Amino acid sequence: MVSIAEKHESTITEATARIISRAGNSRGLEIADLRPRVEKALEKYLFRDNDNVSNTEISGFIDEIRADDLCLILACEKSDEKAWEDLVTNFDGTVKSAARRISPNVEDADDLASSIWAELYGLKHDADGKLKTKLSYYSGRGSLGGWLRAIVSQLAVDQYRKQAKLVQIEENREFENLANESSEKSDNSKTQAHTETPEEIFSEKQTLKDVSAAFSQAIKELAAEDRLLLKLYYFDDLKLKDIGNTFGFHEATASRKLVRVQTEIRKSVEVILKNKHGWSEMEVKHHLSETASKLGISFEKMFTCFLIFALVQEILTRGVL
Amino acid sequence: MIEGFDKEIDAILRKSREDDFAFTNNLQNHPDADEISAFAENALPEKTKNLYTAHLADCDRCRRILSNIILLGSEEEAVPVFAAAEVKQIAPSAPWYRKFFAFPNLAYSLGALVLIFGGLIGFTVFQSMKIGELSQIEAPFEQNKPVSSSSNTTNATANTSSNTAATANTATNSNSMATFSTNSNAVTANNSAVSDSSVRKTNPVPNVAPQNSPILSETESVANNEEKPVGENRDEANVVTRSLPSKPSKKTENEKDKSVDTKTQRNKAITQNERDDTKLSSQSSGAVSNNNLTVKGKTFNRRDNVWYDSAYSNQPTTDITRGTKEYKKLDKDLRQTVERLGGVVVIVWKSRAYRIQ
Repeated sequence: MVSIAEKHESTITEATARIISRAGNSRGLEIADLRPRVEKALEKYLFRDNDNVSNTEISGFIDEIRADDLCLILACEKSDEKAWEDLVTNFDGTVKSAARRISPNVEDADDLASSIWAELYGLKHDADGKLKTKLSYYSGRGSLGGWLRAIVSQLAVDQYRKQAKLVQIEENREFENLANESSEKSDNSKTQAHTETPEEIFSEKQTLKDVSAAFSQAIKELAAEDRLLLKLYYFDDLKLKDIGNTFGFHEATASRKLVRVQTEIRKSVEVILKNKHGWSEMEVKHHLSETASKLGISFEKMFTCFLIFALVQEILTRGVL
Repeated sequence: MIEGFDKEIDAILRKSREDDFAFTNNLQNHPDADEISAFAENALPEKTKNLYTAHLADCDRCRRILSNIILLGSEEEAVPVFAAAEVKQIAPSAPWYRKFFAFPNLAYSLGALVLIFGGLIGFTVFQSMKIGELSQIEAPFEQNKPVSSSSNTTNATANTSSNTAATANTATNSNSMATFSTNSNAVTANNSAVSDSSVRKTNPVPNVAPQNSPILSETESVANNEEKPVGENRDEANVVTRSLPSKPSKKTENEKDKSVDTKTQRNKAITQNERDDTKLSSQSSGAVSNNNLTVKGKTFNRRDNVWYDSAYSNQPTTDITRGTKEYKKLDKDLRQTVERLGGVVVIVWKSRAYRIQ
């Protein structure tokens, strides 16, 4: 069976040649050096779940590859000293600043940056005796700087998740130990102090549980793009402008989409609370508005208190006014 | 919050954490760094992009990586990231609320207020000191210079008559003016006016001719308006450029002064009349406070609590009250002069006479 790459061989070869001609510094690379990486990128991004790809699409895809960045990485893979020098000179800052932005302190950031460079250079050898390096994953589709930032971020997130798991396990154990110690030492372990009645506490917990479940389901029912848009905006605190750039639309479009998403969520939540949890129309509206207003009031109160505290502290320490 | 947002849903989502919604994340086959970075840069083919969107929407790990890339990328666009990181490291850690106080306007406005109030207080003190000085200056004048000397008046009168003839049509001569000094009180008493003196006065004011001020001493014979001599030659009378205030206010009717333009008299009868007039003046001379003060090159004399500019020659005055718009429109130097004098001031400024009170 003839592969898609073989079917479009001449198109791919021509487009690969254009990469070399487009590069400001092709670093002595030839079509044969680039072609495997280009084919890999095509299979990964263009031929994936898509057998009917036209020559125009292939040419367009290859022409969008970043020629200089790809040539630099391929030259590094071929152990070109000058290429390595250029890579380190031009991108060490990118790696370090990304690491410092993500890491909690300078030491961790420096460790992270060192790890990245080690992985880029390669620490292990494959079956053929070649160094296994992360450079082989770069397709040239995105910018080299963006790719390096992605690697830093990936490593940092994975490290954080590992540590978080460890911390969580330790915390759980500590909590269990404390609970055991407390129950052993205290005679009045059964004594509890609550301002609300158990019924009220249960009711409040149940309400929150129902609302969370309704929101969770409403978000899941959104389209993938809307879901991602919502999560990037509310959970990751990204700006609409940046989100819009990622999706390829304007900030205003992102804003309109978000408004639509909110409307969809409200509708879904109301339906779920009524149908699944048996809430009445009044209960739904009352609870949603109450929850929102409570959040707002508490935030305002907290901000005011903090501001007054800050002002008093400033007056006391500086003697202003 | 952005316009058009559902406030309640926005508030709930904003305040909630991702964990509150208990999303399950058991996805496999995570995209690699190349795929996520290409997605972040919107560099993927549209069809492929949808596959990654679905994964990124449900995978917390990959979405975190994506959001980090987006964030770092946007920061790098704004400033060189490495430089920004360096700056962050060396930046002194200050609490956020210090920004309120670091806000320069607060400090500057407070400083400016202190300066303004300090300046106002200083100005007020300065003004009050100045008034005190003026009153101190006035006091000796009033004590030492009550012009009631009949001998001076007599001498002046004598000089008047003699020099009048000698200085026909040359009244602008300062020396001669000096010799015309006479006492207004004496002059006012004379109802038998000088025959050919024309009475130009419309606004009678006290006629005081201080000895120290030759400019102001150009008072000449005075005639009563009611009795004008026959054969008066007005044109000739107008040759005399100055006539001093010669009449006090109504309160002192017995001291009516009238400034009269004199001209050179060829007629001996006129001279005689003048002489008589002067004599009468000297006889009826009363005590007049006679103070001089020079401010900004202008000499003023004080009569009946009014400062008169030496250049004032009984022309009609424009009445202006201090603090009014008209007053503020006046020339700055004029206002300063008036302020320094205080009280009612009659001043000639740029050929116009003002009465400022």
